[in-house]
This record gives sequence, structure tokens and C-alpha cells, in this order.
Amino acid sequence: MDSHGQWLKSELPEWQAEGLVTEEAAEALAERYEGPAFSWTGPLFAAAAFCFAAGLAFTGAGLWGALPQDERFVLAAAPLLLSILAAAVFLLADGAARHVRRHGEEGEKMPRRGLPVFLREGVGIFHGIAATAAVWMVHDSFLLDPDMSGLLAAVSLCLLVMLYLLRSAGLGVIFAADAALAAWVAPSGWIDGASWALLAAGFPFFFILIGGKRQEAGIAYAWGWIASVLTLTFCTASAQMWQVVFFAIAASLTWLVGSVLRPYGWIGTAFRFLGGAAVFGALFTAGFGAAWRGADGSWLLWVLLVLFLLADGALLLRAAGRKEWLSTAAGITPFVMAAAALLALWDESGVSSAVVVSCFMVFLAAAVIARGIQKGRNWQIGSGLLLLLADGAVRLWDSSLTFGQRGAFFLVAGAAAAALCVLLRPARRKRRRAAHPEIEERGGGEDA
Amino acid sequence: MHRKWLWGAFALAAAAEVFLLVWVRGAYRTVEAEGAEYTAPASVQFTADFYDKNYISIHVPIDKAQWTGAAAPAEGEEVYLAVSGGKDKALQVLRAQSALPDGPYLLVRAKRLDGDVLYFDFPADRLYMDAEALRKIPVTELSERVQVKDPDTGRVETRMKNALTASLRVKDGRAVITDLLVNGSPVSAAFTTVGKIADVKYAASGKEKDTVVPMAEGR
Repeated sequence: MDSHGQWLKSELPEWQAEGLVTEEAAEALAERYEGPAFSWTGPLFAAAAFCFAAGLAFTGAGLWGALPQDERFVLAAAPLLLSILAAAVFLLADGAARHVRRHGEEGEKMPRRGLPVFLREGVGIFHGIAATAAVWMVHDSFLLDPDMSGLLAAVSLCLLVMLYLLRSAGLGVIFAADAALAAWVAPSGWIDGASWALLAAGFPFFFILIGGKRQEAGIAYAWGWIASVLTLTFCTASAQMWQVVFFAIAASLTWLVGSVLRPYGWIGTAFRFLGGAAVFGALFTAGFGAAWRGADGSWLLWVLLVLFLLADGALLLRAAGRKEWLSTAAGITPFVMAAAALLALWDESGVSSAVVVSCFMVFLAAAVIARGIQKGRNWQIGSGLLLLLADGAVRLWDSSLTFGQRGAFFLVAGAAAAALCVLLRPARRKRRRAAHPEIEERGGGEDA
Repeated sequence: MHRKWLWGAFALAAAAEVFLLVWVRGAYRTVEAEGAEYTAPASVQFTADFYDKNYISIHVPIDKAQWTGAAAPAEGEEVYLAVSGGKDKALQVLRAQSALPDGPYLLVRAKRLDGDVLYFDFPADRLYMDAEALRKIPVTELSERVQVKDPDTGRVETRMKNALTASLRVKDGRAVITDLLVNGSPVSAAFTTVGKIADVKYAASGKEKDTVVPMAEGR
């Protein structure tokens, strides 16, 4: 039973006692919103599968060191072949199940439903682990070149094909991790481009999961994919400035995707929460002048930045069109970061960029507070105030600004706060309300 | 998706996965069987899990060459080493370059360029062995150093007790260590003892005799 159901269950006796609902109505309501009975079957099945997998893995690891090369090859190839066989059997059985259920026993139309999702996920995860482990095991047993990034990229490509065939979110996470790992271990640059292409090709799979009403699988895959993209940005851009810029872009995009996914309920909330936390994390880091020192970068990074800005701009306009003002404000983050990056080329001390980021952080924190006031959410108001305090702490702490610069920053911030205080004083607001009574009636858009 | 296309894509991806494994093994075996033979000085890297592996970690101290390329290579960039065989097929690195050399060569990853000297890691560092053969190798014999007087200079120098040499095969830029030679003999044969393992209690005086106590097999 979800939290709403629990709340209803706790309220019903009181409503019954107050005569708001009859006993029969209370029972009917409790029965209607009774959640599905908890079953131990799922967790126990998962525990058994995990224990068997861990047991086999550790037993294999114990034998591994003593095996000669060719026996190692067999040990690496056997699970892969088994997983391919399992995948083939699954695809056959799934196709047959869809065929039978679509037409029904007497030829009537039935909804298309394949084999259970846990079988799909089990087969997918088994294949992903078996393929990745096999490549590593064979590479370790017949070592010609310590660099296995090319092999990882190749196995990622194979897993990408398998991903769209098996449609397993677990396999998707393994595929994304392999693609990012290929760039992580690569000593030279071309693998980076291949990893980006692989991850880009894997992104539409998210919409297949969401379209198939597999929200939980969708969010698991999306988080694995996002984590891989973030890892990849850190590989592509070794300078701290670029890492912060790309991290902020990925965080902002996550927030905006969360606003796009609002109709899907908690899945959208989860994205917005993750994106929001990451956006402020990136802004904190970017608030220090040291993050912007030594700004440089190849044309590839600037092109990548422009592409990300275009994607962000599209989502930003969509959020603005739906009057989701807080998401729109968050979507401005990448543009502020790009401006700060350009400033860093001119002011190599990083001070100007850090001040720009700090000012934007004040704006975003104020937007969070305003939204909290509008929606009557105390936690949101408190979060906004905490963010403001944290921004102040960064400015106090950051030694890249001289005492004079820090003093000037706080004086300007104080003047701005005083001006706002005068503008928003109660007497003025009352006069405005009297002059424009329709203001009270206006509500904001649907936003977090 | 049309079922014919689905199964076609599945077969292609599965075949590619299996091919990857076979290709890695095949490439290694090809170099091992068909590569040109060389030798190079070596030392053994001992770690706590020395006897728990199926290979010996070997360090070949060939890690720099004169860079003759036009532009400095980036860190991690693959470059070519032109090599040749000297006396007793000893591996000699002639130069490092970005273009493919005419003669035999090795592929290495550039670490750094110091002046015109390029530093890199030697691309082969493992001698695969069966666990049984590995357990017969005495660690001390391969790692012990002794002080000897150089007959020419008269100075006392610290040297390896046994001279270690790696036997290599090189083909298409890839290298495989095929054996470790101890004073010229393969390591698997250099320390082979004949007879049973025994514990010897040596005589403490002229009145006593050495006592040989047979031990159980294995370590």
C-alpha cells in the first residue's frame, strides 16, 4: 500500500466516528485502496539468484589462478555461449507467447503480452555479465596489449544490438557501463568518440521502456545511462573546468527531462530531484575560482558544448511553454556555465567566472524560495535558504577572490537584498493587491 | 521488428561476441608460433600472490628510444619502435617513430618525451605457465643478488645471482614472452631436482653423520 493508502486507512476510523462515512462505505473504501499483498517470492528469488551468481563467481575466481590458458578460454567462453543460448530460447518463447495471446484460443483479440519481465531481465543481465566477463577473462589470459578499450567498445556495440532485441534494462545498464569504461581505460582519444556514439545510440531505448509502461525499468536504465555519460564527460574533458561545465549540463538536462516526464508521476519527480541536487552540486564546485583556472580545450569540446546547449535550449523552451518556471530557471544553468567558460578565457584567474556562477546561484536559490512560498512548501523554502547560505559560505571560503573583491561582492549582494526588501515591503504589496485584485487569482504552472 | 531481421541481428551480434574471444586468442597464438625470435634482459616481479597465478610477471628494462618523428607524440599514443636482433638475437631498439618502419617493429604506447628520448613501457610482461611448473620455481634463485668482484676493474659490484633473459617472439608489432632463461636454460628446467624431497639434518661433529628424512610430496 502506498503512502496515500496508508493515510486513508488511518483516517477512515475518524471519519466513521464523525459520521462522515458509514461503516459499509469505510470498508468499501479500505478494500478498494488496499494495496497488493506483500509476497516474499520476489525478494527470495532475487536473493537465491544473487547467491548462486556470487557462489559461482567466487568458485570460478578460486580456480582461475591455477588454470592454464586454454582452460581459461573455455571457462570464459562457456557462460557466454550459455547466455546466447538462453537469449535465443527466450526470444523464441517470447515470440510464441505473444503470438498465442494476441489471437487467443478462439481467435479473439487479446493484448500483446510476452514472457514475464523478470525472465527478460534475468536473461539480459546474464548475457551482459557473461559477455563483459568473457572479454576481460580472455584478454587477461592472452595478453598482447594491456589496453582493452577497443575490446570493451566492440563488446558494447554487440550489447547495444542485444539491448534492442532483448529489451532488458539491466542489460542496458551493463552496456552503458561498458561504453563508459572503454573510454575510461583508453590511453588515446578515438575511443571517446566511439563511446559517445554508442551511448547516443542507446538513449532511444529509454523511450521504448517508458512506452512499454515499464517505468521502474526506465528509471533504472536512465540513471545508469546518465552515470555513464557523466563518466564519459570526465574522460573526454580532463580539465576541471570542462568537467564542471559538462556535469552541470548533464544535471540540468536531467532536471528538464524530469519536467518532460511529469505526466509519469514519481518517475518525473525522481529525475527532477536527482537533477536538482546535481545542478546545485555543480554550481557549488563552479563557485570556486580554482575551477576556472587554466581554461583551455580542443575544438571538439566546444562543439560538444554547443550541441548540448542546443539540446538544453529545446527542452528549456518546452518547459517555458508549459510555464514551468523553476525548471526553466534550472535550464539556464548550461548557458551560464558556457558564459563563465568564455569569461575564463579572458580572465585567467577564474574570479569573474566564479562571481557569475555565484550570482546565478543566488537567482536559482531565490527561484526555489519563491516556488516554495507559492506552493506553501516549507521544505522548499528552507532548501532555498540553505542554498543561499551555502553560496555565501563559498564566497567567504574561496581564496581566489581578494578580501577587497569579497567585500565588494557582499556589499553588492547586501544592496540588492535591501532593494528587494523595499520593493516587496508589505505596504507596497497591499497597495498593489488593491490596485490589481486579479493578481491573487493567478496561479503558477505545474512545477516542482 | 520483422522476425527475419530480428534473428539476423541476433545471429550477427552473437557471432561477433564469440569472434572477439577467438580473435584475441588467435592473435596471441599466431605471434607465439610465427613471431621472430629475440632475447632481452629481464627481472621477475615478485608479489605475495606469485604462486597463485598462471603466469610470471616479467619486467624487461627496455623503456626508452630516440624519437625521430616530426611532432611529439601525445601521452598514450601508439608509436613504432624499429628493432633488430644483435648478438644471440638480443633485441635492439634502433629508434622510435610515428611512421611504420620498413623492418621488424614493436608497437608501444608513448609515456613522455624528454628531449629526443621517448619513454614507454615494454609491451610484454607476462610468461604464462602451468600452475604445476610455476610451483617448482624457487623465488630466491630468481631474486637473490650477490656481491662479486669485477676481474677487469677490481671493484665489488652487486649483481643478480643468476642471469635472467626473456625469450621473445615479435610479429606485426606485438610481442609475446615465450620463456624465461636462467643462465641460458629454460626456467622450467633450470631448477628441476631428481629424486624425492627430503629434509637433511647435517652432522654437528665428526662423530655424527648427516641424516636424510624423506618428506611428504608437495609444498
